[in-house]
Amino acid sequence: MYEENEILLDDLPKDYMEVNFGPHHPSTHGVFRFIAKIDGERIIDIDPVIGYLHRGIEKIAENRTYMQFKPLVDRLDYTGALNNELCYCLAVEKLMDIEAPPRAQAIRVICAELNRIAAHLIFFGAMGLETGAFTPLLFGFLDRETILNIFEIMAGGRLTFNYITIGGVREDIPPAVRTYFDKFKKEFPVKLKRYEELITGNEIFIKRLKNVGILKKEDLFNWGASGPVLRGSGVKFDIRKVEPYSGYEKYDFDIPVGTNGDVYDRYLVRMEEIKQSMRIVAQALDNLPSGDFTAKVPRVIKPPEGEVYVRNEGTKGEVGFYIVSKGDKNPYRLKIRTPSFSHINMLNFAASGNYIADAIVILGSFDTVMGSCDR
Amino acid sequence: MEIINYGYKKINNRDVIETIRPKAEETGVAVKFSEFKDQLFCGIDAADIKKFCSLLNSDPALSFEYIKFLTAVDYVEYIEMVYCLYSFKNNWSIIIKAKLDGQEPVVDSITSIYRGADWHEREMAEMFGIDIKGHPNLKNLLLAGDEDGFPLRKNFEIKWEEREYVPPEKFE
Repeated sequence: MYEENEILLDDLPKDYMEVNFGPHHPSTHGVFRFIAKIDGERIIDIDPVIGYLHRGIEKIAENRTYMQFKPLVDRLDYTGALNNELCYCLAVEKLMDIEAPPRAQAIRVICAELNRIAAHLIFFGAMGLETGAFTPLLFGFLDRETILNIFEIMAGGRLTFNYITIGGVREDIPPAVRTYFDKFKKEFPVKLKRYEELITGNEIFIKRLKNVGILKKEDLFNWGASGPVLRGSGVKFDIRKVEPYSGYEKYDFDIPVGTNGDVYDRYLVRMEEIKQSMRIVAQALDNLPSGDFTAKVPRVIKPPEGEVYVRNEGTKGEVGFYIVSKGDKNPYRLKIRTPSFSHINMLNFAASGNYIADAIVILGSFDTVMGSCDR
Repeated sequence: MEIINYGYKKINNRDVIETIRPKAEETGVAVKFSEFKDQLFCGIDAADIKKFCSLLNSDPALSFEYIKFLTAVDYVEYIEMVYCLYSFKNNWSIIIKAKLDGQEPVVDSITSIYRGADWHEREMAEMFGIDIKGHPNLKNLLLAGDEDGFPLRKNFEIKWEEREYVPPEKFE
């Protein structure tokens, strides 16, 4: 299969060497392989090889009903499962002209933002690991554990939930979430400050990240980059603000933007987003509307003919679902747009010209998940 | 670090149509506009895709710089290419559609205009058997290359074999 990738020694100038990373390498965030052509310590060209986690989810969708397909959506980006679910449900709701009641919308926002914090904490840990520090990983996962406990009370699952349904959420939010979150809200900012003292201001960390992998915004538009990668380069773009969904326009939060467009800015943007997400969850829990937690939805989901594209701000960038319906129980065609796919597409452009060690950091700064890249 | 908060502006699709229509007529692209649930669809001829995309990308008043995704839909008689573009400057979204032949689909690559389209086009080539003309590196992306037919076509059969459970042999 990879015959094309094999380059005969005679064809190469003698100074170049080929190094294979992965598919099972701790720095590649899952089963991802890339072949780097290097000149000494510098990377000349990267050839990413993906598809190890390809499960044909788009084809499976054509053979399942809308409800049967929903659990698979969790398996795309398994660190931000609720954001994916939210996007899929919004797309089907748009096809069927259903609007979730205000209480369901608030619960969805709580879910999505808590999941964003959990995903960014993994990034925080992985970023430390990439630069040679092991402690942040343990800290990040420890606090993520608290959020997963909240999810366990809410949805019954810890990683894949099947909690958000078409028309609302599966169950009402239990009162215990309030007490758990209050405890988390009291303890977490203190801890986060301590972590930032440990990592963000660390001289070694800054030297590894600053002025590495600088990306200009004009290039990022062209490559289809989104989310924290785009914001790190100074683009004030967040789908929660530009095309508000699920009542995001009601909440008061800020969009952090980087100035330089390097790896350090992408890191700072994500750390700031954690704080903003905490603000949103606190607001949503304070002003939780009363009423139903699900709209009236027909027993058999049969959207009318038409096609929609709905996107939302996932934990890594723009998550989108393009659904073509022919009025059947199954979607006629379902295309999933994932941020990881677009970002790994950009890897050669972003990393070539840098040192090998920096290429790992740049890949880490994209915060990719192979489950969502390969689908 | 700069932190910015900004408001929400409703987009009117009429404005988008009125801006695109005269410019498309100038370049000689016939565009058929349609709307569905606040989304704007532009139906064009498959031969004009490259011309239309470069107009949308390079014109300063339009500046559709960002490609959300591109995909294809198999309607058996024909295959439809779907391009979804976005303009940061105006906060406009459009979906471009073009019909291809169902048997031997051929379309121009837009990788030279939108570099982000690279892998999307490679995926469409292996999943639908679309010949993407002018693509620099059209090899398999996700698939291993040992399947018969194109997986996302409607005539692709999903096969599986049921296997009997064979208990493992006991070690002496």
